[in-house]
Amino acid sequence: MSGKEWREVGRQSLYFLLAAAGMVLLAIVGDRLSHTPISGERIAILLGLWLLMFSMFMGLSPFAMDSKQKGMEYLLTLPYSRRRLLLIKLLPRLAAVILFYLAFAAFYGLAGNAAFGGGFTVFSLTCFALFLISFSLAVVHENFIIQSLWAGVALCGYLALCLWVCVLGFAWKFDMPASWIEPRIWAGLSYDTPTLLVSIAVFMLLATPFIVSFFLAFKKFDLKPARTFNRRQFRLFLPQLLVACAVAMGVTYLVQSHSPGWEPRHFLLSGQRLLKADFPGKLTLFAEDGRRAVDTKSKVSWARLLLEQERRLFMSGFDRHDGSRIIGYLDKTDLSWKVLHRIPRTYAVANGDLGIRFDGANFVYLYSRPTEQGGLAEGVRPSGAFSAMHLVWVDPASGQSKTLGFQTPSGGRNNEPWLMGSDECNGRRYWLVALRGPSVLRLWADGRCEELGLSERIPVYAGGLLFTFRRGSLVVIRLLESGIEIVKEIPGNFGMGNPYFFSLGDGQASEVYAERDERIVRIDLATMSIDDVGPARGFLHRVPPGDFYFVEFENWPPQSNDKWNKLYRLKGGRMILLKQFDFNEAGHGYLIVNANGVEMIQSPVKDGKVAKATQRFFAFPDLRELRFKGLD
Amino acid sequence: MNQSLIEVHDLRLGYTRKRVIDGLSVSLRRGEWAVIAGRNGAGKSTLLRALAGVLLADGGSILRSAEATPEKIGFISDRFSLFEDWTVTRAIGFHCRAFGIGSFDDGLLRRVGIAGKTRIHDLSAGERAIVHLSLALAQRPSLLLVDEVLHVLDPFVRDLFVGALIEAIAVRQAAVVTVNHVFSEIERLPDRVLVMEAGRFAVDAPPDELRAGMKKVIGREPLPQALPCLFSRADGEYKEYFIHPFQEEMRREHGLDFQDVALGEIIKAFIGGGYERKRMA
Repeated sequence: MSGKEWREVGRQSLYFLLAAAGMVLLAIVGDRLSHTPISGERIAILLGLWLLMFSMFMGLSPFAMDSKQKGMEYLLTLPYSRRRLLLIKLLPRLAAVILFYLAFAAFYGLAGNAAFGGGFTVFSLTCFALFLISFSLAVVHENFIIQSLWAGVALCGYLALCLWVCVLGFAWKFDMPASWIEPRIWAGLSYDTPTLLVSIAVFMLLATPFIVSFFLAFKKFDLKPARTFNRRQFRLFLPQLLVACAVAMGVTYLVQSHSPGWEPRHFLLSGQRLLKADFPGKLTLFAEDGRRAVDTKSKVSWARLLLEQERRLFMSGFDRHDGSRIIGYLDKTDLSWKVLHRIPRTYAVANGDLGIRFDGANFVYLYSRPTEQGGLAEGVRPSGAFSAMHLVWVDPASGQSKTLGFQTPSGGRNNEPWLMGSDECNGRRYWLVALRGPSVLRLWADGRCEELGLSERIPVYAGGLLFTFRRGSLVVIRLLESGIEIVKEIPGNFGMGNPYFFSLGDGQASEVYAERDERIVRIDLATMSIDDVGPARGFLHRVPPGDFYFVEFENWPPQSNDKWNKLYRLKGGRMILLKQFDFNEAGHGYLIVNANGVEMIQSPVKDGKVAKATQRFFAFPDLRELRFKGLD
Repeated sequence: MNQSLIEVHDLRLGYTRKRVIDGLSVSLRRGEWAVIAGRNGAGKSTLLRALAGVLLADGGSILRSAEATPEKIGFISDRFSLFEDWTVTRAIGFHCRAFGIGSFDDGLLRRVGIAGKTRIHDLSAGERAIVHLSLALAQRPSLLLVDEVLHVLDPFVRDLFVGALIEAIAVRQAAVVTVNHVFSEIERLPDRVLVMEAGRFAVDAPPDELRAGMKKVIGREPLPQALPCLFSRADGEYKEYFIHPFQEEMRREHGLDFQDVALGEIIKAFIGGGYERKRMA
C-alpha cells in the first residue's frame, strides 16, 4: 500500500517538476526576448508560487486518485485501520513537500534571496501550513476545485488568525497598542529569536486543530456523503481551535512580554565616554571611572544619536506613550532630558529614524501625508506615497520648527525619499533628495522643487559636488543656481560606500574615496584626478565631517570564520593602517566607525551556531580599548 | 458449523438524515449461505458494506469473531471497486501484498480467459466479477460478502461463480452472504433467506421452512375467515391468497387446492410486488 502511495506521489511530483521547469524556461525565454537580464528573483517568486500550489495539491490529493479510479470502496476494505491508512497517505506527501521546499530554499538562497522582501519565514510557514490544512480537507468534497476553494478559505482564516496572534505578540513585546503595529511586521517574523520561535509555535499550534481533528474524525471515515464527515470533523475542530488559540496567545504572551523588543544600544561619545540606551526611556552615561543613570520617565525606544554638542546629546526615538517620533536632548552636565520636537504617529517619516538628519544647522526630515489639513484621522495609516512631501527643519537650540510643502514632479512612485545633501547657493538654502528610481530633486527653502536628473543608484553629495552613477561610469555634477553642470564623467563601476554614512553638510571636503572595479580610488575634488589607493577587500566608511576610513576583512566577502578586521584611515591618497582588531573567537564580526572611535561587534560561531553579539569599544586618537564598569 | 462469525445487534446506519438500517440484528454462522433479499433501497447493499467495514455504524454494534478479521472478509461489491487503471496482474500483486497472501490461484481467471495484462477498465462486468471473486477467494475468507452481481453473469460464468461459492462453503466452512433479486438459479442453494424491510429483517428463515409454511390458494370466492392469509392479489375475477402459516390439516378442513409457492414468488410477495399485505408476518 505504501509502495503505491510513494509511486503515485513520485509521479505527481515529476509532473509538477516538469511544469516548474517549463515555467522557468518560459520566464527565461521571456527575459531573452525582451532583452532584459534573467531575473533570479522573478524565478524565485514563480517557483515560490509553484511550491505553494504543490503543497496544496499534495495536501488535497490523497484520495483524489483513488476516487477517480473508483477504488475508494476497495481501499476501505483493505486490512488497515483508518489512521494507518491516513499515515500511509500522509508520509510520502509530507516527504515530497519537504524535499521540494528544501530544493526551493537552496535555489532561493543562491538566486533570489530578496524575492520575498524578508518574508521567507512567513513563506516557509505558510507553505507547510497550506499542506497540513489542505490535507485536513482532503475529503471535504469530491470536486477538486471546491476542495481547493475550501483550502484557500481555510488558509486565509488561518493566516489572519496567526497574524492576529503574532501582532498581539509584538504589541506585548513593544508594550504598545496592537493597532500601532504595522502590517509590514508580518514579514518580520524572524525579527529576533524569541519572535521567530513564537511565530513557529503559533503557526504550528493553530495548524494542529486542522490535522488533529482530521485524524480523529477519520477514525470513522466511510463512504457516506462528505457532509456527514465534515460535520463530525467540524465538531472536533472548533473546540480544538479555541484551545489552540488560547495556548498560542498564552505562549506568545509569556515569551514576547518577557523578551526585550529592543536590545540596548551603545553610542561612543567624545571624551572616551559611552551612552547606553535602554527601554523604556533609560539612558546611562559611562565613563571609565564610573557611570550615571538617567531615567527620562518616558516610554521611549531609542533609535539614534543625532548629534553631540558640547553640553547636549541629541537623540531620536519612538515614544510608545502616544506613538510619536521624538527629537530630544540630554544635558550632559545636569543630566536633564527635554523633548525638543515631536512627530505625530500618523506622519509617515521617510526612512523612519534614519530619515532624521542634521544638515549642519538644523535637524531635517521629510514626511508624507495624504491631505494638507490636519494629518490623518486616528487609526488611519498614511499611504506612504510621497507625491506630495513635506520638509521640516527643527532648530536644535530652540526646538522651533518650520514645514515646507512640495509637490514632487514625478507623481506617486516616489516612495521613501532620501535626504542626501544640503547646501547654500547665494545665501539660499536647498536640500537634495534622492527618490527611488532614483532621480534627484533639489528642494529650495522658498518652496521650489527642481528635478536634477537620474542616477542608477542613490547619489552622493560631497565637497559641493553631486556624484551620480551611470552604468559603467561616475558622473560628477556641479549644482548651479539654476540647473547643473557636468564636471566630469569617470569610467568604471563605482561604489561610494553606504550613502547613509554621508552627512548632509559636507561642503568643505577636498577629496573623496570610492571603490572602482574592486580597487579603492581617491578623487581629488579640485583637479578631478583619480589615484589608485589599494584593493577594496572591505567596506568604506565615511565619518562626518569629511574623514574616510576603510575596514579590511580577513576574507572577502566576509566568512563566518573571520578572525580579524583591519582599520585604515584614507588620507591624501594613502591607506594608513590604524589598528588590527582581533576577534576573541572566529565568527561574524565587523566594525562601526564614528568620529569618536570604533565599536567592534562580534558574534562568535560555535558548532555552526551564532552566539549572542558582544561589543568592544576603542577610542580615537590611539584606538585604545575602553573598559566601562557595569557595562554588560 | 454453528459457530457465530458475526453478531449484529441493533444496527443503525443511514446516509445524512435518511436512516437505511434501523435496529437490525442478525447472527451469521460458519458454513452457511445466507441470501438477503428486499426491495430496491431496502438497505441490503448498505448492510453488506457495513459488514465489510466500508460503512461504519451510526449505532448498535457489529461484533466480529476472531475468525472474521478484516483479512478474512471477502467483499465483492456491485460497484466492482478496484483501481481502474491497473492491470489485472498489478491488482493481484497489490491485493496479495495488502492481505498477506502467499499464493494466488488464477484458475478462475484462466477458465474465463482473462489475461493478466488487461486493464481493469477494459474488463466486462462479468469478468470483473470473476477477478473480484478470485481476489476474495485468495484471502481464504471466513466470510464472503457478495453484492448483487449474479445477474450480470452469463450462464457459464454464473455456474463457475456459484460453484466457487459452494466450494468455499464446503471446503473452508466459509459463511457466504449474497444479495439476490433473482432466485431461479439458486432456488435450492441457500441455507437461509433474509428479507429486508424498513431497515430490518422481516423474514429470517431457511428456504424449506418458508416454502413449507406458505401455500397459495387461487379462487373466485372469498377466503374462509379461519384461514390465515398473509398476502392477496387480484388477477381479473380470480384472487390469489398466500396462506401463512400453513398446516396440513387445512387441506382436510377446507378442501381447497393449496399450491406450493416458489421461493422467488414468496420473496416477491414480501417485498410488495403487487401483493396486498393482510397482516404482519
